[in-house]
Parts: sequence; C-alpha cells; structure tokens
Amino acid sequence: MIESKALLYKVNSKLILDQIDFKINSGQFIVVVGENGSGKTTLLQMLMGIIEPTSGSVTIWDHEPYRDPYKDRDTIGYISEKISPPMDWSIGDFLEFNRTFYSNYSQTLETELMKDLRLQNDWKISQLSAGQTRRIQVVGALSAQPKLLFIDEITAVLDIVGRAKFMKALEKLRRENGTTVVMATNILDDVDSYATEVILLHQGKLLKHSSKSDLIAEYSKQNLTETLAYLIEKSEGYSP
Amino acid sequence: MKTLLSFVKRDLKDNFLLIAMTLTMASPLIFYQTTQVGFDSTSILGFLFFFFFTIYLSKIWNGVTGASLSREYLLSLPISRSKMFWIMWARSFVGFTPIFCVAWFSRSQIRMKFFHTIALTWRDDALFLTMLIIGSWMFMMNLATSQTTQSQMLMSRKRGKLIPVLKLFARMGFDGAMIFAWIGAFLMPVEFLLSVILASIAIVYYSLKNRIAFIQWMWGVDATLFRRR
Repeated sequence: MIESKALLYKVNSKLILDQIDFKINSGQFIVVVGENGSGKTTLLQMLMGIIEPTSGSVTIWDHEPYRDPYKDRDTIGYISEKISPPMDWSIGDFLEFNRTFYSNYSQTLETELMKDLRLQNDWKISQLSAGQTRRIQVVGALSAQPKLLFIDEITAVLDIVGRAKFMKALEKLRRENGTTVVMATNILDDVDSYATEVILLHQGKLLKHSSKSDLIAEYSKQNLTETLAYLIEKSEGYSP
Repeated sequence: MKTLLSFVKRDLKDNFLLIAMTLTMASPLIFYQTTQVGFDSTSILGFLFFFFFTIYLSKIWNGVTGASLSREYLLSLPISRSKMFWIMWARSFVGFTPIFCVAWFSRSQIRMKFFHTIALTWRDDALFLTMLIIGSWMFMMNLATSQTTQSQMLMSRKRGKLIPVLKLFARMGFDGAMIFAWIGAFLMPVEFLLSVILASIAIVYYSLKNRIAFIQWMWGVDATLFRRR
C-alpha cells in the first residue's frame, strides 16, 4: 500500500531523511517515533505530496504523492499541527467548508464526533484553546472516512479525555472502515494498546521498522515506551 | 466550478465588511460625478485600491498566518495542484470586484479629470476595463514578487535566472498599469506591454515547471521546494 525505497530528502547540504526503506500494508496502525528533528514531520509531508524527495521514491497505492494524484486524496486524511482553521470562522463554518470536498463525508459521523469531543458548531475558532482547535481537525478528517490517515503529533495538545476519545474514535474508524493510520507521536502511552507497527527514526535514518509485538519481544521490555526509550538511548550518537 | 464557488462564497462572506466599507467610502464619487467634489476626490479611488487589496490579498495568500486557510490544509484537499493554482488567482480577482464597480461608475469623472472631457465611447470603456483588469493583475504580480524571501526563492533556481528580469518588468508594468489604467490612456507604452508578456511567460513557466512550488510561491513560503532534483 505504502512503499518507500531509498527515500532521501536534503535541504541545502543538510540530510533530513536518509535512505528510508519501508513497506506498509493496509489496515495497520503505524506509529512513527523519534526525537525532535528526526524527520517525522518531513516523512508525513512527503507522504502527503507536500514536499518532493531529493532522491528515492515513495508510493501510495502505486502512485507517487508528489506527482499530484489528487483523486487519491479524497480518501486520505491529514491531521497536523500545521493545519489551522481560519481564526475568524466558527466551527460550523469550517466543517461546512471542509465537507464539500470529500465524496465519502458522513455528517452523521460528524455530529457523533462533535458530541463526543464536546464541540459546538457556533463556537468561534479564535476563542478556542489549541487542544479544541485540534479536535475540530479530528472531526473534519475522521468524518471524511479516509482509507488512509496521517496524523502529525497532535496528541500533545489534547487533554487526557480528548486523547482517550480521539484514540477511541480512531480505533473505531480503523475497525469499521479498514483505515490505515500512520501517526507521528512521542506520547507512546496513548498508542501502546492500538499500534500494530512501529517506525523508529533517528537523526533522519530508519532505526527500526517492526511489528509492535516483535519489537517488545526482541528487547524483552514491558511495553512499547520502554522498548523505544531503550532503543533510542543505545543508538550511536544520541545526545539527550 | 463547484469547488471554486465554495472558496468564493467563503471569501465574500469573510470579507463582506471590507467590501461594504470600500463601496460605502467610494459611493459619493458616483453621485458627485462630473462635479467639483467628485472631480477633486478621484485620488480616493487610488487610496481605496491599496487599502482594500493589500488586506484582502494578504488574507488569501498568507495562509500561514492563521487568518486564512493554511497552506498545508489546501494542499491536502483532493483538488489538483493546477486547479488550486487557478482557484487562488480567481479568488484574488474576486477581491477586485468592488473597486471595479467603483471605477466603472466613476470612469467619466476620472476621464474628465485627466482629459477634461466626459464624452465616452464604447472604445474608451473597453480600454478602461481592459486596463483595470491588467492593472489589477499586475498589482497582484507585484505583491507576489516584492518580498525579499520570494526573490531569493526565485533566484535560487538555476533555471530561474531569468526571473529577476521578469520580476523587474512585472514591477515596471505594475507602475505603468496603475497610471494608465486610471487615466484611461489610449496608448500603452512598450515597457508595459513587454512586462505583461514577460510576466505571463513567468506564470506559465512556473505553473508547468512545478505546480506545488508555484502555489507555494504565491503564498510566499518554503524556499526548499525550489531546488532541483
């Protein structure tokens, strides 16, 4: 479904991503982990076709995202801290605008999510907290019922209840819709019970790509958080 | 068309106050045409032009400010990059609607100011409208190319060495267009015509070369996209 071959991304002479190879099958919940600056956001931007690789290739459903297969994006969701709904709109305004672009958009699901995430249509976006603004994005993206969902570090701004509800909604979508989730995060407690695969990036390199169970078993740790913390620390050149 | 309408509908709703203010401020010019009051206040049009469009265009283009739809959101929508590129231009042109209306209704007064006559023919009208459209377009080109970071981005491309020249002509053309659009001149200077042609080439070149980059150029962000593979 997603295949990356020798993916490399350079800005001037600085290597952001270096020879990344991986293959992701549909229906998986992939967690992309790595310290700040390891290339998580760049990788997701590349998968969304927002930036183009310097060399190597990445394909989603056999299409290269940077070649603009725009019809594919009808079934691809993207939630990122870099996406901000206009501040002078209300939540209802944003959702009304957003839903016009997606053919599989479910207003029933939207209403359900709005209720779950405790949002109201008439609230002004400028008056919301960062966490509430992210919740709007979650409602917009999940209601489009994507087959593939990219999430870029948004759980950090959600409160405990918000995170739990978001993860629950995500799991429901994955179960009912077969959605593949690729989520970049550093808060592993939330994803520990949902993740099926882990991609660990370190200084732009792919340190590990494995199923969660194999990874935990290989290093004999209690959970994903401990395993990944151990892996990052033991990797060469790591400076906390 | 449906997609474009979604954007335009939102833009008109978001900028309703700004449009209403511009029209209200300019309306006396329509009622006082051919009188001394209208005659002396022609310059208000010029002021309104800058007042309205700099705010409007910044709102549309500077998607990274949070005041409008962010660049990453727009690029993640299931709309082709080339379509998005034209949508951005169309949205920008919609912003010119009120000033077009004001300028159109006040054209006889503008003409009187500069040529001391109010006798207008269809030829004058056609020229005036053409100059307004071109002037508006040059104004946008000027905004898009005037920022330092954008110039650096344009020049960072190996094949983009021609761009500073195009940019210069675009800017000169803008100045020319501004003057000639308002006075409704019959003759267009060579410099202006050249700039229109060259700026058009620049647009086509960037659209074909890298559609994502061009959309981003319009928004003035992410110079890294301009490197070559």
